[in-house]
Amino acid sequence: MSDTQAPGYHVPEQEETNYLHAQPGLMSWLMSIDHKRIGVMYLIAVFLTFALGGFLALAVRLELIAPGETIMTAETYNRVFTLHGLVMVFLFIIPGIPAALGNFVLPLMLGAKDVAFPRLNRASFHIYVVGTIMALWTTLEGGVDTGWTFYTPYSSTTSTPVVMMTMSAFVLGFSSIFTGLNFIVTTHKMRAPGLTWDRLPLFVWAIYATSIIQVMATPVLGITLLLLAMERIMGIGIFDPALGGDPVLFQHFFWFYSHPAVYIMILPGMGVMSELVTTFSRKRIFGYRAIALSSIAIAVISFLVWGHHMFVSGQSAYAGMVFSFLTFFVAIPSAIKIINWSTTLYKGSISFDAPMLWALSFLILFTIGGLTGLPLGTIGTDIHLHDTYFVVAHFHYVMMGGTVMALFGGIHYWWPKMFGRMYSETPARVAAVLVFIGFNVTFFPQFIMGSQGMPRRYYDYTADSGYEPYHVASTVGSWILLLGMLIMGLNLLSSLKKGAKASANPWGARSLEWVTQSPPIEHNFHEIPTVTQDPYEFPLEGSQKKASEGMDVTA
Amino acid sequence: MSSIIAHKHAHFFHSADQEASSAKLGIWLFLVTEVLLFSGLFVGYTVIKTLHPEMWKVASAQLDWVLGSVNTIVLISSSWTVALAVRAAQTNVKGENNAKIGVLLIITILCALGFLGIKYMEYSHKIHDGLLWGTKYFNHPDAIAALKAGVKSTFGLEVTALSDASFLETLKAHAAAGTEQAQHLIHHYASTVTYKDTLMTVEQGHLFFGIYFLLTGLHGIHVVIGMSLLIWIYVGSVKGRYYRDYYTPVEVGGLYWHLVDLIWIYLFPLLYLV
Amino acid sequence: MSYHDSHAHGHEGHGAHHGAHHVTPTVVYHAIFGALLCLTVITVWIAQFDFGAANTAIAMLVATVKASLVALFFMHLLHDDRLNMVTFGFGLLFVALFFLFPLLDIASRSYVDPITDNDSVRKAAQQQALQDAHAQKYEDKLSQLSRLNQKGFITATAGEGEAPAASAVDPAAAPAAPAVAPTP
Repeated sequence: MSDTQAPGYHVPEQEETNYLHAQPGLMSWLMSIDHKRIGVMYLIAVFLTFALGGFLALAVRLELIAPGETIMTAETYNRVFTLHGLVMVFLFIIPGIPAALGNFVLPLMLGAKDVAFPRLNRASFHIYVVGTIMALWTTLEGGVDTGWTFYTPYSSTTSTPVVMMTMSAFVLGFSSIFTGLNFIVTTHKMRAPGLTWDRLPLFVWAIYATSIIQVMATPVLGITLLLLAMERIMGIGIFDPALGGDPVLFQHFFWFYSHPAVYIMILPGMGVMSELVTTFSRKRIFGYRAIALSSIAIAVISFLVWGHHMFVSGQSAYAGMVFSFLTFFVAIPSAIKIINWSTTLYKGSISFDAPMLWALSFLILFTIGGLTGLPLGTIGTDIHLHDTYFVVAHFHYVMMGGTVMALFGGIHYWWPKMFGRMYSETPARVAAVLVFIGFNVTFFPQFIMGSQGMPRRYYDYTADSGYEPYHVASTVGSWILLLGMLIMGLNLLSSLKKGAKASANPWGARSLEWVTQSPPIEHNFHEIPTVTQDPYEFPLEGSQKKASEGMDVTA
Repeated sequence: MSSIIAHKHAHFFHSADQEASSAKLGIWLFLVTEVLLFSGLFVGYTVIKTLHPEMWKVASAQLDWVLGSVNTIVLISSSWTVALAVRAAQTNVKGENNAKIGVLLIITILCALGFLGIKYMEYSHKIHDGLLWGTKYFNHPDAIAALKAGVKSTFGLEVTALSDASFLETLKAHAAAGTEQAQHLIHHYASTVTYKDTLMTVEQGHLFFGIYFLLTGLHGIHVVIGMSLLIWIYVGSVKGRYYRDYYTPVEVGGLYWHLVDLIWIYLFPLLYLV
Repeated sequence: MSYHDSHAHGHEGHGAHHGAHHVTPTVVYHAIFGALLCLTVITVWIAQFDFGAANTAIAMLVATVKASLVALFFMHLLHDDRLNMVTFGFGLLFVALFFLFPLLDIASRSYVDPITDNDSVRKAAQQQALQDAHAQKYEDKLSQLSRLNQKGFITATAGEGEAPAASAVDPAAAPAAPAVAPTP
C-alpha cells in the first residue's frame, strides 16, 4: 500500500523523541498519565489475561474431548469454566478494545493532547490491576464454581470464595466507569477545531456509545455484587426465598448490567470494523450517519432487553413476552451496520491486508452470531435451546467471532502507529486465516450438538449420546485456534525488533491519528490540527465528491 | 488571609474554561453513576415492599420519624450553606471572600457531623433492641431457637411462650442473671416483650431492617466521603485557592454534597413516613 | 455547526465562558432553603393521614419537588450548560427502566401461569365449574322438595306450591362461583 499523506495535514519531516522513549524506566511507565502509554499497558494486560482465559478454555475443551474424566475432576472443571468466563468477560473483553485501543487512539482521533482526566485514566488502570490480582487471588483460595453469572441461591450458599470474586468484579467496575466517563467528557470537550460531530470517525462514535453503557450500567453491577456479598456476609435475604426474598430479582439486577455489557463488548468492535472496512476498500463509508446513530441506538435499546436471559427463570410470562418483543429491536441497528459495511465493500478497491482479513472474518462470524441470536430471543425456541451449547456457540460467535476478530484487526491496523514498526504481512495473513478456520471448527459443531440438547456447563456426557464427534471436532478446532494465535503473537512481537520502520500513515487512512508521526510524540501533535473534511475522504475516482462539498451520507 | 493563588490550567486543555466545563461534565456523569448505584437498593426496597406489604407497615413504624425529620433539616441546611459557599467562591475576586467560604464550609461540615451523630443514636437503639438484618434480627427463627436454647442452658428454664412479661421478670430475678451471656439473653427476650404487638405479629421483619441498614449505611458512607472532600476543599479555601476564575473544586465538592442530600430527600419519606 | 469553523474547540466547551457563569442571587438560595423546609414539614404532616395506596405516591411527589429544587437551583442545572441537565436526565431515564421491568415482572407473575394456564386447561375448568353449578342447583332443588315434602306442601298441585318457595331459595341455589376457580 502506498504511503500517502492525509491531504491538508502536514507531518514534520524531522522525527522527534516519541512517547515510547520520552521518559525511561519502568516506573515512568507505571505512573504515566500519557493516554498512549496507558493504552499500551492495557494492551499488554489484556493480552496476558486473554492468554490465561485461552488456556483455561483449552483445558475445558480437552476435558470434554471424551466422556468420563479426561484431565480433571468435576469440581475442578466447574472452577475452570467459571474462571474462564470471569477472566474473559471482566479482565479481557470489557477493557479489551475501549481501554487498550480506545485509550491509545481516541484522543489522537480527536486531535487532543490527552484525555480530559489523565490522572483518572491512570487510576483506572491501577484499579484494573488491583481487581485482576483480586480475581486471581481467588484461584489460590480454590476458585469460584458459580459460573460467571453468580446466580443466587447457589452463589449465596457455595463454600467457594464468592465474596472475594464479587469484590474483584466490583473493583473492576470502577476501572470501567472511569474509562467510560473519561471518554465521554473527552469526546464532548476535547475535539480539535472543526471536528464536528458529523466528522467524528465512527470508532469514536462507537466508543462514545460504549462509554454511555459503561457509565449507566456498571454502577448497577456494583450494587448487585455488593448485595450478593451482603447476602453472604450478613444474610440480608433479599435474594433468598427462605428469608422472604426473591432469587429472580438477582437475575434482574445482574442482567440490567450484564446484557448492556454485551454491547460494551461488541460496540467497540463495530467501531474498529468501520475504520477497517473503509480504509481497506479505499472508499468512503456508506451510510455514515446511520452507522453512527445505530451505535447510540444499540446503547439505548440494550437496556430494554435483559429479560431474554430469564425466559425459563420463573419471570412472569408477560414480562417474558415484552422482553422477547423488545429483543428484536436490537437486531435492527446491528443489521444496519452489517448492511452498511457490506455496501461499503461493494465496488470498493479491496486490499486483503491482514487487518482486512480480520474485518472480513468479523463480518461473516458476527452475522452468524447475530442471526442465531434470534431463535434465542424468541420465547418458544429459547425454552428448547436455553442453557445448551447452542447458546455457547451463539455468544462465542458474537464475542469471539465479533469482538476478538475486531480487536486483532485493530491491533494490526494501529500497530505501526503504536510501535512504529511494520509486522510481516504473510504470517499475519496466515494467522488470520488459521484463526478463522479454527474458530469455525471449534464453535460450529456446538450449534449442532446444542440444538440436539447438549447442555452447557456440563462436565460429562454419555458415550451413547452421540455428542462425542462434535466434542472431538470442537476440541481439535481449539488447537487450530491456538496455533493461529501463536503465529499472530510471535509475528507481532518479532516485529518490535525486526520490523521495518513504519511511516506516519502506512495505510493511507484519513483520520487524525495518522497525521502525527509513528509512534507519536509525547503530546501527540506539534500543532493541534484543524479539521476541514470528514474522516473517510478517499481519493477514489468515480465515487467521490470533492472534499469541499462536505459529506453526503446517503448518496 | 485575603489573597488568592492564581490557577494555571493543565497543558492538555487550551483554556481554563475548557478545563472547568470538562470537570463539570465529569462530575455530573459521576453523580449519575451514584444515582444508579443507589437505584439498585431502591428497586430492592420496592420489590420487597410489594412482596410483604403487611410486614413493611409494621416494621417501618418502628423508625423514629422525629430523628429522621431532624436529620432531613440538618442535611437541607448543609446543602444551603454549601450552595452559598460556591456562590462566595464565584464572586471572590481578590480573596475578600476567603473567610466567608471557609465559614460556610465549616458549617456544612458540622452539619455532616451532626447528621452522623443522629444516625449513630438511631443505629445504637436498633442494635440494642436487635432490630437488625438476617439471623441477627431478634425475631428470626434461628435467633429465637438460639434464645430458647440459651435460656435453657444458662437459666435451666424452658421458654414456653415469647412476649411474656412475667417470664421476663422471672429471668431478671434469676440467680444466674449476672453473667454477660445471661444479660444478653434477657435483652433478647425483653425485645420480644417490647415488640409484642408490633414486630412479633409479622414474619420477615429482618428484610425491612436489612434494607434499612443497607440504604442508610451506603448513604452514611457517602456522607463520610462528602465530608472528607469538604474538609479538603476547606483547606484550599483558607489558602485562597478559589476565586472568580477558578472555583472548580468547590463547585464539584458542592455538587457531590448536594447529591448526598438528594438521596436523603428520597430515603427519608420512603423509610420513615410511608 | 459549520464545516469550516476552525475556532470551534468542541462546540459545548465554546459557549461556557467562565467569567460569564451565571451567579444566582443570594435571595434565591434563601428562598429555596425556605421552600425545602416548608416541604419537609408538609411531607411529615401529610404522612399522618392514610390515603391508602396513594401514600407513597404523595410522598414521592413532594420528594421530587424538593429534589428538583435542589437540582435546578442549588446544583445550578437551570442556568448551566444544558448538556449537564441532559446527562442527569438520561441517568434518571435509566433508573426508570431499572424500576420498570422488575416491577412489571413481580406485578404480573400471578396473572398467567404458562404451565397451568392455557386454553384447554381453562376450558376444562370452565366446564367443571358449569357442571358443579348444575349439580348444586339439582341438589338444592332436591333438598327443597324434601323440605316441602316434610311440611306436607307437596300435593297434586305441586307446581303452584313450589314457585314462591323456590324464589326464596334461589339466590343460594345459584352461587356466584368464579368461572375459572370454583374453590378459592
